[in-house]
Amino acid sequence: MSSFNHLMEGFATAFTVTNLLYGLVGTFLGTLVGVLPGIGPALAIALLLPVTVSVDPTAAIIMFASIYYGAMYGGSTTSILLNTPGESGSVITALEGNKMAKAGRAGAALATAAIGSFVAGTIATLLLAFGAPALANLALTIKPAGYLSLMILAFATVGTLLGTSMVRGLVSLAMGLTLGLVGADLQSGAIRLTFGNPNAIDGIETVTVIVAIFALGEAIYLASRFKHEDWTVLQIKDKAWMTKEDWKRSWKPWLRGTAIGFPLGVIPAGGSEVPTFLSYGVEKKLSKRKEEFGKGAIEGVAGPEAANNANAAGALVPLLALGLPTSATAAIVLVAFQSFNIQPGPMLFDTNPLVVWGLIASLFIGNTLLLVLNLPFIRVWILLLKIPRPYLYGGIVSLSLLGAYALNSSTFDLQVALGIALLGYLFRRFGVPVTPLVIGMIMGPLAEVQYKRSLQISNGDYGVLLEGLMPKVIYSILLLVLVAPIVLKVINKRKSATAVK
Amino acid sequence: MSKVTQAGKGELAFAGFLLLLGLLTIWDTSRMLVPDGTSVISPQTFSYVIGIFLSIVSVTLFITVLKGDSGTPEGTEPGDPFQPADFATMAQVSGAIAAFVVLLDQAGFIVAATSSFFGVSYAFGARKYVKDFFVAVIFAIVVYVAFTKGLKINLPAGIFDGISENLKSILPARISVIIIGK
Repeated sequence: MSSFNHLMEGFATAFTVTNLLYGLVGTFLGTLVGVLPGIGPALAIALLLPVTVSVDPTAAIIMFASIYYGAMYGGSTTSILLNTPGESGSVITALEGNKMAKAGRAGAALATAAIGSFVAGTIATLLLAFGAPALANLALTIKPAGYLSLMILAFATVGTLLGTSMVRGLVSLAMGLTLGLVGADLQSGAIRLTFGNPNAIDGIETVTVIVAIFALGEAIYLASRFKHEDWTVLQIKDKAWMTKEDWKRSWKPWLRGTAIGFPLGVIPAGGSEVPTFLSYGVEKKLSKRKEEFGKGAIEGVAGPEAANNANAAGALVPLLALGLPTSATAAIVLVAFQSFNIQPGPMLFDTNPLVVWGLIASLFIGNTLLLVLNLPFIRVWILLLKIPRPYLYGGIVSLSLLGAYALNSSTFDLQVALGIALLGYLFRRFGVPVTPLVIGMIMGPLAEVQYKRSLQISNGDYGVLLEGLMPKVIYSILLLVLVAPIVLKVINKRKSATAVK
Repeated sequence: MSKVTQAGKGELAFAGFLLLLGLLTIWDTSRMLVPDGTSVISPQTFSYVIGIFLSIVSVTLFITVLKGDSGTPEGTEPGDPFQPADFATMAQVSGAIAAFVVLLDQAGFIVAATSSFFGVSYAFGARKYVKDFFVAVIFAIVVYVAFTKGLKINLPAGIFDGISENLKSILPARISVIIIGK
């Protein structure tokens, strides 16, 4: 059957009354949590994971798709009106959109963000629907050693591309890999790093770590530099819609943003930070009104927002087709899948076609619902921003603790959460990015499985790790990328040394 | 050493802590009990690689900081004057989190969530104690009911354990149905 037929079947799955209802609830909850300042999509999904415990897998995955997009919409609203980006992908929106809002153009900024997200989301989901099965087919031929090399590539890019300093990204990755080690090794049953604590044998719960590091660590950090002052929530003075002029200035950035965001989501480029900055740069370069950039140019909101959404959909391609998460949000979606015993990867399209096509179809539906729901009701969502700060933080911290506990009803998880919260504070304080930790923790055990599979096939011969075209190409690229800058540095130093002489 | 600022010293300690963790991982791996029948592929290799990796990057971080490149939180510029951390507020938030962890099993969710909500909002400047307290209690009860009744997720009732049964015997049947359900 072709992708098109499958997609139609997916729509049939998604369009049942119950599933549609779950989609609706998901968009609502996603937006609700996403609007809350400081909560990005990854944390929103982690917090809402317990909600789906008693729901059947298809409905739950559909709900997650809606939460995913909903949280992103909600996040851009907060970025524009409050200038507190909940994730690195919204930093640009906050920068440029907040300036627009200050200039009394909040409505236009919100509209171009919402419609741009819709356009980008729809195109990108379409690409996902046809790209992911094709990639999955291709991936069926990849051997374990090839997978291992792909994962190492993802580790390297996520570890080095995020944040301001390479060593800090790698520190975060290493810490995540270490956390992933804790507990019983799946194949041999050997027990690692539990130090005699029987609760730790099952390993450390990923959701607990995500909640603790994104919410609790952040709360402690905010407390460490707390000043008793209130936010100024900008008012929407104009209508939440665009003028003819705005449309004219927006549609090209939307399309360019999609073109930049989607492919950078598919390859492991470290999340939405790079594509949004890239899109901003492109729009600034192409614009005839460069002077408006930094003061509230609509192109500077339209492009990056589209790039951000297309990137989110793009990240689902390697997630569904290869089982490889390339952003923190994709990683938590993977955890959501795993909690229903569904392992994304090349086999997913054969083993769980209903779930995966239902998911893709509900991405379309959720995206449309969001556009219909959010723009007219934007003023309702803004009320959430008026919650006094002390209560907001009190609520977020308490809900996060509940989220850390509720998945396994485990007090041990809460103790872990407390420890990770303090670690999260240190990360935040010393400029260590957290996404590599999340990716390392989730993908570390998966990488070990591939490593062991390769060696099982070869009966312990390490040469198998370099067998085939894929590992060779990937490791050569990595070596080149890692070694080239060092060589260049040495050459430059020599040159300047001789120049001095 | 002159390049290392006060904040840099903190980061050196952080890097040292990570190095300890890396060495701990290596040590733990070395004394790992390897079950029989896994002679071909040892579960130790992967842990060794990660332990060594963590140790190397921590040392690299240590050296980076010594050279004067100390980390700055996202959202602040490297040149910004650094404000010392407000440890009192930090301790209040951490304490509120710890209180939840301790109280949940002992006293139940409603008490634990009330205390964490109240504690964190106090740390962030809420000073209308009576109102703050009621907001916290109502928040805790609403979340408790939504999760236990709505989502069927069990949360420890703690000191309120059995209260719904007691209510049933005290209140007329119709009212207890409204409050408790069933």
